Amino acid sequence: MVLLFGASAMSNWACQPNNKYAHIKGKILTGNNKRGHLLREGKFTKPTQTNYFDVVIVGSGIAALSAARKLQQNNITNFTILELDDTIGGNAINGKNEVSAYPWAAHYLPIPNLDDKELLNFLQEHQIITKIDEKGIPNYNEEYVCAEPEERLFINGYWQDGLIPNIGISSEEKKEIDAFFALIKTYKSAIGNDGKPAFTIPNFYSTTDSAYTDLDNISFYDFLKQKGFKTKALFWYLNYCVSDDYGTNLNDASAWSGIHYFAARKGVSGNTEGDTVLTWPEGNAFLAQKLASTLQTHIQKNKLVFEIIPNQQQVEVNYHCFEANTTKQIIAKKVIVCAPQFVNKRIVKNYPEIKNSPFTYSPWMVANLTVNAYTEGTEGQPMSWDNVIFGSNSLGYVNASHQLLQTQKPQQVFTFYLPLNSKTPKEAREEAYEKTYEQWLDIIFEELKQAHPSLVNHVTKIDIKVWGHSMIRPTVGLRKHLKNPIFNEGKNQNIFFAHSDLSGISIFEEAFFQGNKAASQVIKTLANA
Amino acid sequence: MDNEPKTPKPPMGSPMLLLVSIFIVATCGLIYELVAGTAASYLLGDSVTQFSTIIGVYLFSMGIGSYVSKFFSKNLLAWFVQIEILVGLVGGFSSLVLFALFAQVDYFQLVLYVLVSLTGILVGLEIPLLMRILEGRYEFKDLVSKVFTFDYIGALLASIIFPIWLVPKLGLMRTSFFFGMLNIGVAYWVCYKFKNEIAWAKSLFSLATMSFIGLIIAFINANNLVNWTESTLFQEKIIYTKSTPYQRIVLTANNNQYKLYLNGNLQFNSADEYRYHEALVHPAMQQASSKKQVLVLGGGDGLAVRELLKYPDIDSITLVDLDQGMTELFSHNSMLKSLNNNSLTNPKVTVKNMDAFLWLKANNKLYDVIIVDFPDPSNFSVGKLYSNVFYSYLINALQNYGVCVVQSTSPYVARKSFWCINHTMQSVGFKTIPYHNYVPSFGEWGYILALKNKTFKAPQNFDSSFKFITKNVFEQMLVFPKDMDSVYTEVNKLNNQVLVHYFDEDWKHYQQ
Repeated sequence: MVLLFGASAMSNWACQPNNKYAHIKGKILTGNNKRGHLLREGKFTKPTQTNYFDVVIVGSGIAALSAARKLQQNNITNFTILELDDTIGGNAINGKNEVSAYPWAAHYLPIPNLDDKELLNFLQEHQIITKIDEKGIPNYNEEYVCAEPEERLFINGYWQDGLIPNIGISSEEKKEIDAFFALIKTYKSAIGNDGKPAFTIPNFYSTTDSAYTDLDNISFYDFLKQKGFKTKALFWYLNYCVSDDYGTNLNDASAWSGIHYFAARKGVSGNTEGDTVLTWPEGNAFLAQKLASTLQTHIQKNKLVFEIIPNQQQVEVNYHCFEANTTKQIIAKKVIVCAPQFVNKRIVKNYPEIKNSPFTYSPWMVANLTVNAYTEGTEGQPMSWDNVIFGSNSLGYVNASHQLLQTQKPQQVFTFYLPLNSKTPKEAREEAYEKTYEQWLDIIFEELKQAHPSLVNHVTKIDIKVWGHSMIRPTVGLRKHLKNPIFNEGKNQNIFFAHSDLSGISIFEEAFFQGNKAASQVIKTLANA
Repeated sequence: MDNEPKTPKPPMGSPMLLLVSIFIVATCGLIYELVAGTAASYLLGDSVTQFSTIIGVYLFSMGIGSYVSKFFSKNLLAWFVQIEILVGLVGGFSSLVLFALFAQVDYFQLVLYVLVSLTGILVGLEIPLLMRILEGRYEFKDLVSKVFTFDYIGALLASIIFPIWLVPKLGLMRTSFFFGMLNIGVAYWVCYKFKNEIAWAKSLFSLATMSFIGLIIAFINANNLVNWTESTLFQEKIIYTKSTPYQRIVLTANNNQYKLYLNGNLQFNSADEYRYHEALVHPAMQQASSKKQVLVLGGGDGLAVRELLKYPDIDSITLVDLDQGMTELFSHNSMLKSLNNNSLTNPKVTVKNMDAFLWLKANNKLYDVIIVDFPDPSNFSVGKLYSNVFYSYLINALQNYGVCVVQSTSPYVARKSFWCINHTMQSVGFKTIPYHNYVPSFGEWGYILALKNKTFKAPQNFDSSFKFITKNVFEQMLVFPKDMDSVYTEVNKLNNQVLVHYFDEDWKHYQQ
């Protein structure tokens, strides 16, 4: 006992230098990283049991859940969903505390384009769209539309309305920003020589006209330089935008993806602005739960699929069960593989094409801060949904509590997003896994210091999540690999792939599209069989 | 003289110093009386009654003190020093005690008169003891003449500087702290002068020092104790302030008028609030076909509930107000309870301290009448409570044929804001009847009466006991002059908050 006491006293003493954070509770949450890494070691036993299904869906992210919804709507019910983690949703997962629910990654859906009918149907099924008028214009549930005030940017000591730099910048910078948006306007309405839009979502439906697709062969940074842009305000803003949607910087993102960010969204709504977003305290976990609302009996959690073997007539799926610590097998007629390609290259046998494609993924750090209400005395627009600091590497923070209906919020949860995009993904990932909790806190407070110098005194809890591979990076030249038939018509009519990385862009709409596309192929080939 | 002392006591040195100390003691005594009278007038109103009863009780208590003085036979000097310290403490802290306890205790008058009596008794002891101390050191006729001359001069000085200089410049609290220090100064002087005759002079010294330090600290921090700047800002006497987790409540009093401010915005003035609350409540109640179940959202002051309780056919009233600090204050403070007629403690009334939006969304009970009395939409938080989403929950909480009314800011100052509320309520299916009246403290004020599946019938039966509203008056309230008449506005939504923008613009124009 004396020894134990002595040891704990010592450890307390050893912690003294870090006591500036003594009042902050929380930790780094370890997700499925460790489970996933078992694939590298590859030490799995032989399956002890075999089951039979018409369809197996590997993964339970948005693409997987969308595929399952589609199967169910087409009366295919003999399917199962195998999820590695103990929660569903993939990038659309959330946490919750006594103050608010909060997202761990994806957290909003822009008002969709009118021709994305499948998505509009899904939103209407769950009363996210309340009605669609005779002209086909949807009305959205206003509790889910991002509430005012939506966005603010801390620039030159002032919180301005909106994120496009405006307060205290030079007229030259303003002119460049205007010129950039004038250029975007032409891309937004541009039509390719095949009659398809130059930019749209899902991007599968955009033109193959090389006048536009060639933009994928040059970086966004080089494109901007070629067009003669040079001011800091514009470059910071555009770097912020590609970091936000893709986790990449201006040099790595292709010009095609950079323009796509601005030119592909053409949402229309009867009761809100078309350029706003739908959002919830828990982020896109709200949508994942809606997708999963009729799938509960099909979902198996804590199952690591380590081998998918295509045979002539069927597919063998071998998986490890974490709870029972056993290995099992499913023989399925069809498999929809909804894992990202960096996983698939290890588990799908006889598909060397995956290994040879240049898929890279951006690492991120996401932190959720529980904060007591306080006023910092800075002027300008009050607390908004999205709060960004000009010049910062981080994306600032989103107030997860913003959509809560209550008028007074003595405490709030801020979700802080930091894309780790200043080094190669591999270097950044390894560095991120090494960082201690206190080192992350130093980074968070340093990033927010300008706008919130006394924030540290008002935070009661911070939980941190490091995403090693969170988003496909739309790097220069990626798009030609997406055309590979194995990801489209399928090389083998029993295995289909569905993941947003196959769209080259990690957004809800693309994952939803990929899931629906693969499910349609399954439905068609099952009917033919 | 029959009872000439057997051994003559040594003279006191300079008689001037002696006279100065009598003068100080006398001034302090009167100041405490004035402080108590003024504080009671601020807090309870009706200054004639307050001053008259307090002077009476104070003088009577001084009489008790004089009577009791004969029981002090030994160590008169030590007793005198101790009494001076006590007077300094009790008198010095009297105004702080009164202001601090006003909102906290149910029987404030009891506290007030106990404090006045205590001060009176202690002050009543001073002069008789002092005279007995000086007995034998001066000739008796000189003694009586000098003591009373300076006693009355002190009283004159106190009564002149108190209203002219002390209250306006120092404020009530600092005044009483300051005179408390003077009393303790006299204690010091006596201690010093007679250190050889007082057995425990040293401990009395330290007692006086501690008390003096306490009063100095209180004097320096008086700004925090009664927020000095706010008192100048409000131009009125602040009698109560409280910062709850949600807002700052400030209650002021002036010329028998009480005003309640929430975050600096006037909520009511007791002199004319009946005009506002009658106009808010009675037109809706006259429209209602059934009045059994009534809901009040906001209105934590209980004044709308007071009007509602005039209808005996009400079975229950549910009041939802976020701030417990507010509803507790208006449930327990005797002065405020007399304003709202004890409405919040009425058995028909249930108070829920919850966020109105969340409460309404979770609610599944239907009400016959709903009274909505929120602060003006001056920020994004409150703006939500005037949104179409809020009103769609509101209409769903009403019985078919139900009636509700919403306080809707000034149609004169904030014309766009007023009509925006009207249009927003119409957008969710209410039939609206906008009306307005004049409330001197607010100016022209507006309300939206809103009906669910029901047609409007001009009300006939306003009770004759009402102080403001009649059938004819209400008919006039429905007429909007050209400068307040309907203008185009957008619908206020959670995702545009146009009302907050309108409200900002409207008031900016008005202030310029």
